[in-house]
Parts: sequence; C-alpha cells; structure tokens
Amino acid sequence: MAIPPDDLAHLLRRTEFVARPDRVTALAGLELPAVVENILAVDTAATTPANLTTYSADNWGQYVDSCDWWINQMVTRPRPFLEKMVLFWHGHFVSSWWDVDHGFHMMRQLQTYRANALGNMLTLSQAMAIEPAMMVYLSNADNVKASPNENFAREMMELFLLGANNGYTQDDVRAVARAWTGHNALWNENPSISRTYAFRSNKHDYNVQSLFGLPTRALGSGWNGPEVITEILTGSKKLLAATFITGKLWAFLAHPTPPAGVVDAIVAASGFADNRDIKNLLRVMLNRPEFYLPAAKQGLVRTPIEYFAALCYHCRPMLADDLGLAWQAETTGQQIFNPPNVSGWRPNAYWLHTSGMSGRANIAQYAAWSLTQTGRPFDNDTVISGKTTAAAVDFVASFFGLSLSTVTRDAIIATHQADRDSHSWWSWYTIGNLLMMVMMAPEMHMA
Amino acid sequence: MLDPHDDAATARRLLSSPDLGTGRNELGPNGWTRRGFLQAVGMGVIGGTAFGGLSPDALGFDIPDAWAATPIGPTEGVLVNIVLFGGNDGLNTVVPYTNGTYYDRRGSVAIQPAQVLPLDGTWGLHPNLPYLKQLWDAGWVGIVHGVGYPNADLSHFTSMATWMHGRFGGGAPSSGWAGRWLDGQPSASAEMALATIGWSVPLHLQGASRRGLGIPPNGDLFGAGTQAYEQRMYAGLKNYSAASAGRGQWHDMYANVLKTQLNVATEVSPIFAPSPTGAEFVQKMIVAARLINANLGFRIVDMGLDSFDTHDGQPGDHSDLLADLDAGLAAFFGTLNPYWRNRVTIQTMSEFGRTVYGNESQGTDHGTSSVMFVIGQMVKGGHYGSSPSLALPNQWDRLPHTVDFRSVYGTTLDGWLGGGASTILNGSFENLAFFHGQPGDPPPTPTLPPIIGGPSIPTEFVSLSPTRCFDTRSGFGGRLGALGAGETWTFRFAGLSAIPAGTVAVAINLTATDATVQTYVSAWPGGQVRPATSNLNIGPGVAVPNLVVVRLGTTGDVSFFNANGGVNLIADIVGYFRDGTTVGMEPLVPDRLLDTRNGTGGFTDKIGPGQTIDLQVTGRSGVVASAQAVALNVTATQASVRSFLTVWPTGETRPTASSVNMLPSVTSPNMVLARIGAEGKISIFNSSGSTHVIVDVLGCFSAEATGRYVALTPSRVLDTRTGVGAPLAKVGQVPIEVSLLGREGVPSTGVSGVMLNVAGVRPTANTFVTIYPGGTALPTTSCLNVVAGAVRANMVLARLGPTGTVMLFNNAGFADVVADVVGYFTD
Repeated sequence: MAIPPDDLAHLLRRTEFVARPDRVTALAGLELPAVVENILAVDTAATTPANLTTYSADNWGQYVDSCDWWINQMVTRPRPFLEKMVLFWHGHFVSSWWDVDHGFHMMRQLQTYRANALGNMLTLSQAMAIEPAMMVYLSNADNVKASPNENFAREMMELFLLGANNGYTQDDVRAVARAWTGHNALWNENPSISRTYAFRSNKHDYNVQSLFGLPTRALGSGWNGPEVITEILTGSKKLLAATFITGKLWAFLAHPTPPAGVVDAIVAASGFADNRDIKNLLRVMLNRPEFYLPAAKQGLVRTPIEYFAALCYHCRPMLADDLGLAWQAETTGQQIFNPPNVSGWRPNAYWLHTSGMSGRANIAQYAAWSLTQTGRPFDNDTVISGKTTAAAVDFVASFFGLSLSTVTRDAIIATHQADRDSHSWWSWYTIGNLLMMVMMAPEMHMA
Repeated sequence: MLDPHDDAATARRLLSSPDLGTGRNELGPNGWTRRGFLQAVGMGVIGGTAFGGLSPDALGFDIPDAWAATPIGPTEGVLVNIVLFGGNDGLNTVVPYTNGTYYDRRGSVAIQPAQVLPLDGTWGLHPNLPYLKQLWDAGWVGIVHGVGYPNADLSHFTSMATWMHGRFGGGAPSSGWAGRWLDGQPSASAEMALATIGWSVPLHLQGASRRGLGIPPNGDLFGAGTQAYEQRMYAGLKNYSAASAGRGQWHDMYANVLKTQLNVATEVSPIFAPSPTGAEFVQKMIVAARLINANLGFRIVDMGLDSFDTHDGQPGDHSDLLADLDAGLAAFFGTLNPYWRNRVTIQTMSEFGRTVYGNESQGTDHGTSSVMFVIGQMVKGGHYGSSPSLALPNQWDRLPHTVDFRSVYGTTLDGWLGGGASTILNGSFENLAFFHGQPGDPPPTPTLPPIIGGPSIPTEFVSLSPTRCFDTRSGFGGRLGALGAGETWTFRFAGLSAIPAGTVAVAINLTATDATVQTYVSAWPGGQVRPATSNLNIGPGVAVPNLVVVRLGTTGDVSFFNANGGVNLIADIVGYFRDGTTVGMEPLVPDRLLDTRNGTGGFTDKIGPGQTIDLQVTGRSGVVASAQAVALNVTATQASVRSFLTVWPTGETRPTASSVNMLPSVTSPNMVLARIGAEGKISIFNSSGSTHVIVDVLGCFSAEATGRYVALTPSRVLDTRTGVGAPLAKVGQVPIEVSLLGREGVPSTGVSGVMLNVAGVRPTANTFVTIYPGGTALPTTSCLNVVAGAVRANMVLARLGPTGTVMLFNNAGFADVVADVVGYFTD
C-alpha cells in the first residue's frame, strides 16, 4: 500500500525539515519501507568550505558564515535527513562556540558529526570524546592525574550515553574522571592549530581498579578513558545505553512521550545494543506505526532552527543571512553552535513562551520584507489580485506548504478582509499582514 | 534526584518548560481586566502625557498615587530572584579569609587576604563585589551559609531541578516553587505577577496551572506597534486561540502563548525606553527595576547569570561573573524608585557550590552547599546558618549542608510573598527570620542607603562670576541640538579654564528651554547609574532655570538626562567645590535682603529694561563682612514681559549668563550662588520690561565659617505622594517637619545644613513654599513658587534646626512636595 499523503508529509517534515514538493512527488506511491530507505540514503560527503574549517582571526565573521552555510545545507541538500541528524548530534554531544572560542574546532566537530551521523555509535562516541572542542568544553583538555576533573566523566554518562543516575554511581564518576586523565588537548601557540589531542602517559592514572562493580583490575593496568566508552556501549551497560539513546532519538524525531514499550521494542528489533548501527536503528524507528499516530504527528513544535530552515526553503533563494540568522537567533531562544548548556535544547513548551514568540515574529517580519522586494514572489499584487479573500489566504498558505486548520484560516480571512476594506485594496500592509499572519500561524510552527 | 528512568533529555525538558499536561496555559486567554487602566497609565510611565498633560514621570519616576487601582497592595512585597547557573563557588564569593585550611586546599584558586573586602574577622567578599560591600555596610545584606539539601546530587540538572522544584524527592518535577506560588494568587492579579527576564522560562516559574512570563532582555517585543494595520494584525493573530484547532495540545498552546505575548507587549514595551545599557545582566537588572517601578503587578521577577561552572580558568571567569553581579545590583538600586525600597528583596540561588580543593586546571569541581544572599532595606543584615568545616581529607569530599534551601524559600515566601510556604514546599522548614518586618513597614533606623558613587569628601566652595559652559542652541561647548526623549548626554567639566584640577563638585545654573512637551531634566555624576531624581521640570513655551550642585564623576563629567520630547540646555557655572579648608560655609536662617515691592533693601521700584541695581549683602541678615559669596533665592515677580535676570559680583563686567528667567505674571524663583563684589555688593540686571525682584539669603561663605560641603549622589528624602520622609498626604497650611540626619547619605551628626532640590507638585492653588530650620518661627521668605496644577522645582540651601530637621510650609491650597538631597554642609 502506498504511503498515505498525510503520513508522507509528516515523515518528510520530521526528517527533512519541510515536505518539499519535489520530494513528495518522487516518493508518493511508494510503500513506507521504500520511502524510509530513500530518506536514509543520504550522501555523507563533507563539503565544508575550507575557509570555515581553518583558523580565522575573525571569530564572529566565521561564526556568521558557518551558521549560514549549515542552514543552507539543510535547505539545499538533495536528501536533507543527514543535516537533521547532524543537528541531533550537535544537541547531544554538546559544545559551545563561545566556550571553545575557536570556530574551526567547532566546524571540525560538525564534520565528525556528519561523517558518523548515521554510522556506528561506538565510532561516533569515541571520536567525539577526543574532539578538541569537546575536550575544551568539558574540561578534559587539562585533566591530569594529580588533579582529576569530573566534568567530562559525569556528563558523558549522564547526558551522552546512559542518563541521569542510570547504571552508575558517584564512585564511578570519580573513577571515569581518573581514567580520562592524560587524555588532553594540548595547547599550541599557533592559533591555526590551537589544540591537539594527545595522550600523555605521565599525566595518566594507571591505577583505576574499580568501575561499575566489575572485577577489580590490577594496579598499573587500570581503566583507560576510551575503554570506558567501549565498556558502556559493548559491555555491561550496552542495553541501558541503547535504550537511553533510542529514547532520545524518538523524542527528537517523533515526540517526547513515547507510547509504552515502543522504545524497548525498537531497541530489540534493531539490535542496536549489539550492532550500534544508527542508520538501522532509524530505519526501524521510522517504520514503526506509532510514528504515524496523531500523538506523534501533533507532538513536536518546530525548534527555531527548524523554523529558520523552513522559512529559508519557502523563501528561497533567500539565505539565512538575509534573515539575520546569527543576530536574530538569540531572540528565538536557539543559537546554532551555542546550546544553552551541556544538556542541549529541550522540546515543545521550552520554545513556547512570550520571549520566543517575539523572536519568531521578528524573523517573520524580515522574511515578509524580503518577499515583497522587487523581483520576489510578492513584489506586487498580481499574485493575489483577482482572487477572493479566501483564495488569497489559501494561496499564501500553500506557498508555505501549510494545511490550515479552520480556526486559523477563519482568523486570517477575517483579518485580510478587514485589511482590504481599510485600504485601497492593494497596499504593502495588505500583503505584509497576510504574509505575517501565515508565517505566525500555529501550523507554521509545528514540526 | 530525578527518576532514573527519565532520560536526560526529559530531565532537561523538565528544567525549563515542562509538558503542561493540560496543554492549557491560564495566562492570556482570560482577563486582562486591568487592560484599559494599564494602557492609559502604563503607556505613560515613560513617554505619555496622562494626568492632565503632566508626564507622570515628571519628577523622575511615576507617581504612585496616580495608580489609583494600584496593582500591588501597599503591604505586598516584591522578590527579585537571581539564579547563578552552573554552581557558584560560595567559598570564593564570601571568602573565609582567615582560615588556613581554605588556603591550603584552594591553592592558586584562593582569593588572597589582601584582596578581599572584609566584612568581619572571618569573612570577606570577593574583591569584585564592592557595591555589595556597601550594601552590607548599610545593613542590607543577609548571607546564608551552608545552604544545600540532603544527599546532594552532583549533577547540574538533578541538583538544579531540586532547587527549582523546591521540594525534595518524589520523582521528576513538573512544577517549581515560584510557579506554585503563582497558582495560589488570586486570578485577577496572577496574569502579570511572575516573570523571568530572558529568552526561556525555567522550571521554577512553572506552576501546576499557570506559568510565569518570559520578557526579552532587549525589550524587542513583537506587538507594540500602534498603527491601525498593526492593530488589525495583532487582533487577527490573537484569534488563533479563539477555539481549539483540533491539532493537538502544542498547536493550541502556541496560539495561546502568541496571544499572551501580544498582550504583554502592549503592557511592558514602554518600560524599555530608553534602552538599558551595559552588560546583559546589568540590563536585566535595570529592566527588573523598571518593571517594579511601573507597578504592573509583578511580585516575582526572575533572571539568570551564567555560567558559574568554573572547572577551569576560574580566577578570571568567576571574577568577571561577580563583577557583573555587582554592577547589576548597583544598576538595580540606581534605577529602583526609592519608594519601593522597603518592598523589594533580592535573593540569589545556585544549584550547588564547588569543591573545597582546587583542581589542576585552575578551577573547582561540582560541590554541594554554598552561600545565598538576601538583600534589601528590610533584610536584617548579617550572617545566617553556619559554615561547614573545610577540613575535608580528600579532593572528592564534599561539604555537608547546614541550612536546607527550603528554609530560605520558606522564609521568603512566608515573610515577603504573602505566605503559603508549607503548601508550596510540601513541608515546614526553619524560618530564618531575616526580615525586619513586613513589606512596606517603616524601614529600620538609622537607614543608610546604598551610595552609588565613590567616597564623598568635605570640600570648600569657590565662587565665580557666572560663566557659560555650554549652550545646546548654539553648539557652544560642543553640543549642538536639543536632547531627545530619553537621551543621556554627558559633559566634561574637568579641563574647563574655570575648573581647576581637584574639583569635586560644580555649582551651575542650568536653564532648560524649547521643551516640546512636559518633561524633566536630571543631572548626576558622569559614569554613574542615573538616580531616580530630577533637577528641573519644564513644559513648552517657557525657559526654566535651576541651580544644580552636582558632584563630578571620576573623569570630571556630569550626565544630563531628558525624559520626554526635546529640550535645549544652557549651563552657567557659578562656582565649584574643592578639597580645602580656606573657605567655610554657614547656612543661615532665611532672611529677606531685597523686596522691591515694599522697599526692603532700599529699592522701591521695579527694575526696568536694561537696568542694574547693586544690592548690599554683607553686614546684613547674618552675612559677615568678610563673606566671599552668598547663597540666595532670587525671585522675579510681576514681570511686564518675558525677561531674565543676571546676578554677578559688583564691579565686574556683566557676564553673558542668566540667573532667573521669567514670564509675565508668573512668579519665578531660582537659587543663586553669588560671589560678592566690591563693597560687599552684588549686581542684579534685568534684561527686558520691568519686574519686581525679591532676594532671600540662605547661607554665607567666608574664611571664618568652618562648614564644608559634601556632595552626594542625588537621593530622594521627601515625597508626600508616597509617604517618604513625611506622611502620605498633601501639605496644607500646617508646616511639616522633615528629618534629614542619618538619611540618604547625610550623617547623623555634625551637619549644619543640606542642599535640597525641592519640587512642588500640582498645588490646588497658586502658592509658594518656604523651607526653614526646624524649631524656629516661620520667616517671611520663600523658596519655591508654583502655579496651581503645575510642577516646579528649585534648589534650596536649608539650614537644619537644633534637632536636625527642616520645616516646610505651603502658603495656599494643598500641594504635594518632593525633595532630593544632593549634599550637606558640615558644622
């Protein structure tokens, strides 16, 4: 049976930011497993421009360019699911541009996400642990035997692999901190290098004998940092870790409150605890019928970055820079490369507050302005002249790929009619208000 | 701790904006019953012209008695909650600077004894908290030591969840202590009672059925437009929540929050003009103070400062954060209307402290107990709780807690926010009793206010013949063009030829003219936070002068602020105050030296156009023969045309300066500091038409006198509209007595007189005000003339009576009176 159109639109919005008409056309008529395979068949080639992955003295300028470049990837890649997953890992293995303070380390980290986003969980986790950006952000950069630093050890287990107090103790945090001593990001005076990962045996504590209640190891051959990650993902903690990561991915792609048993069932069906294959895990997840229940379809608010990406797509070739992404993002509550803390971003109600609404509206005003400039889709009245009020509203809603609820549609029609009645029927305000009403409609802000 | 079955993402979500369960937010959709009122009044707080054409901000802030339907009751307290995200290091904030164990354990992360700001023999504040130290010295700061919770969890998120939740145990939190407080508020006042200033709304603002508001720190609130097309759009957007769309809870919640956002924009936008400046946290604190000043109904205003998670590089990072905290506190009290001081308490919180041992990365790791601050005029300053011993054997050992954090919340909730702590916190905890009394109670005496600037020193006065410093009409002095609405402009007096090095304060005759709307002008030391005081009030069509005696900022600057519309400013310097003892000051009982209406002083006719009279001042009314200068109140009355007077030393060339500006048939006074010229005389020149002139002497500067002047940052000592310094009642023909000693920076002993800027506010009849020493007979002098319904200010040098008071008499009708102290004279 071909995938129902509503399910296809939902799946594309969740995996590719928007349900692009070309993608809908290409996938309509296929059955769900084939659609999922198509979405998963991403090109992981790293095409990051060289000027974003080398040192720049202009840290802010590099930040702006990097934001624009990444949003543009979300909008223009033929199979954008890769970027959606890079966004997930960016909010999972967190670090911050302004803490790390070297843009090229952040973009390097982004390339590592991209290379492993649908790859192997163990490979990805080990790679992230020794990214200089991560090591600086969570204080492993200078973690040495004489004075172990708990920061990475705690967050690695609590936030990255296991979940709070899930299968480890405070003693384990201390042991892991010691196990990572000597795994440092060494400072280099050359700013174009800045920090390089190195293992310094004379700064490493070789005597971490006890971990997770496992058999005591001999002095001199204790736990070493990367071994801990391997133990968590392949040893005694692998099911806890697989369940934790699967739950977080479900929350990110479907909705934060999975039906009972779904996460466990996905873990079991995918074999993720044993094969650690992220793409396979996603394949199982996206094929689950629960992914297409109303609770999932209505279960996520677009994050500001997703809203940015959607606006950039619908208003193409407008670029993120035209919306002032790097400048405006803070007002929405979400800045790329700058999660609020090591736990990353949260969903839904986290975005629905009076401050964030203002930020979203301010960005919509930029977009409305852009769309009405000469040569742009709404630069004159021909696009809606001759249309009835209702037809004009439907036309603009369709422009943004929205299927409006009756409540929303009635409100826009009434406002647009009042605007027509109040002005000679064409004016910037008439079209500007109509664009704003649609861009600020709840439908535009649901993922 | 969190339920271990909740994954970390859930925990994080719960820390900020949890699933509401019902999917409905009580805010917004209903009510806004005060809407019309707030629109009329709230919009006027900054720039409007409600109240009979008079800006409600005319005297430097809104007029509380104009809030007839005051959203906050007179005994309701306001809490400012500051979250120090990341785990603030209590030991480097309040430093045990005589404890050897601290230095042993901390190593290079320790704050050295020579650096701390000592509070006593045990504790000292971090060197970047000088303003907090001033507040401590004023008795406004409670330090609660050893605050934490049982079985502390070292995770940021579990620990912060516990602090935000305000309960302990019982699974994953879905609400926070402030939100549950909001749940218990009457629905009529709950709409705008709780807000965070930031880009997200944290868990502690989430209640079971209500949620606090998020207010963007930069005030960039969509929905504040006033054009008809914008209003149509806002109305349409609000209709998205007219009914459930049937697309799930988040869709409906989005629609509801959008409506709330549009409503809030209408109410809150005005307080963002002019834009606050400074570090982001400083801006947040300024916004918090303005929100309180505007009296929109907020009882808890929350904000965060981060990140205190100083695992590495702590010395620099932590110092910068505490500097921000200190600057924010200074900005807050510099912005807060003094009316609110006994109604506002600040509380700090953080998820945990840090390890006693420093780590190898110049940092400290997650700890447990830490210090909390409670700050305010009604807080009993001092130490609370006890500090746990630092003698821990191992790096990983954590400090025990001695005070449960819920004790602090409970004390605040019951003592300041109307009660309900046991319900909100689900238990009873020790009341720490750190309040002097209930919100709005008379503050404890003596009350030393926070001093915003640096130390003040006794100075002597050097009088000058009036000399023009700047004129924004001509560009003289470097500024061409009127000051705009909300504009602060700073002028550098240091370096002018008339102003020698070492000048502490200047006396200028400041004239405002060309005002486009009703406005007021404030002057204060450059580089400091603008105080909630004003120097002169003006409307269109007049020129209004006033003597301004103002301390210079550290770089020799004075800042000028115009509230509304545009206004030109002209300044003539008449003298300066410097460190020295050669010239003293003696405040006198006011006495009349000249009244051309009755021949006092030897002149019996109006002064004609272009005419000058020379008035004998020495040897009269207590002015000694050796006097070098006098403080006068000069009043023009019954002027035939618009004109001005110039006062200068007899025998010298008449300067291009004005001392008093007058309109026909309006009585116009101004205080004048006049250097005495030849034969002990001063000259008075009238420019146009003819006018009667009255001169009262207020004080005398001479080598024999011993009094020195100490300039203060302006601060309000009297406001009959709010009950500051006098009963909350308009003043009739019964004199009121105002105590000055020990208030607002004036010492409790050794003061002979004060320099006050006095304003009469909307008297019911044309009247004048006389200020004279307490305990003496009402003299036949005046210091301020006000037309019915108007607002007018004048500087007054007021001699204190034997008990340290001044009397204030209103000659006709009923009037409110406001006074700011700008300095005092020593014995």
